[in-house]
Amino acid sequence: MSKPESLPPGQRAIPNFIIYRILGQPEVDISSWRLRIEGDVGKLSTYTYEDLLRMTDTSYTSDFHCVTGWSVKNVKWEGVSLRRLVMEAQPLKNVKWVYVESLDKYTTVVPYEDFIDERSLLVLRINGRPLSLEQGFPARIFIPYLYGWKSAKWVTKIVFTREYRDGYWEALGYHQRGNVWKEERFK
Amino acid sequence: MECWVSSPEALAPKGIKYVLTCIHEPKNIFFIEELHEHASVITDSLSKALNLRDLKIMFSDNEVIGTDYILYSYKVFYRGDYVGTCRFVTYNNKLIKSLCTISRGVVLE
Repeated sequence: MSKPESLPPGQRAIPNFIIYRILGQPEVDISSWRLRIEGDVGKLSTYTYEDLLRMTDTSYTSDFHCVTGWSVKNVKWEGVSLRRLVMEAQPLKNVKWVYVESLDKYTTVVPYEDFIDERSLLVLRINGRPLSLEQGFPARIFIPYLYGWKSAKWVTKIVFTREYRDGYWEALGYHQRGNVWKEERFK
Repeated sequence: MECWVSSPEALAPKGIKYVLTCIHEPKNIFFIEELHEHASVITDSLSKALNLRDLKIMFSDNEVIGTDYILYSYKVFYRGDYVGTCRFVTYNNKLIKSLCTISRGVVLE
């Protein structure tokens, strides 16, 4: 999935993830945790963790790039294709953005065309193990060519919208899309 | 693993009274859960070295130093109060050093 031996401009490889928990570490009660799909969709959906484990359909190795300049190479990601979740939700015409909400009240926003990219993933496992709490258990988003702040951890809601709305870092000036190969760090 | 306690004057201005330094054979640490296990072992060493029971340790944050080192910080609590920090140094995902600082306010048992 990643260009062999090359990093996006301005990035350097480090051995492992730096753990960011800008709004603290949320507690997770997996028995009551749900992933809700809402907004401008034809079908509102709710998934349990068990549902998503059964739906696991994608596995690949790809690098992770943080906007602060570090990258972790060759991470193994496993989970459910976001495109599959999108197809089940049947977004209405003219949906342009996807707003992602997390258990810690973190939010981010992704262009619809990137959310449905074939590489976009709802991650359940990383490097062969279920996500740790620090890494976003039970689920996080991953879009390989967008900076890591788009890879929201502890995801609980996905909202399809026609109107743009800033997420947490976007409200602080970070880019609406965040493509690593175009160095879209700030607006 | 070899650990020892010191009280460096250089850290007194920061309110630090004790430093536990542990040296061990480099250990592969790839998953954060493996580091949590090591942190528990270090907490036991700290507890014995300072004769403090009821120590708890909790992951706080980590940071990259250069391109090959990552420093993981854990907060240390004694009977519910924050009393210090443990820092674990990894080099290319190999744990090479563990170091804990305990503040002046702690009264040893």
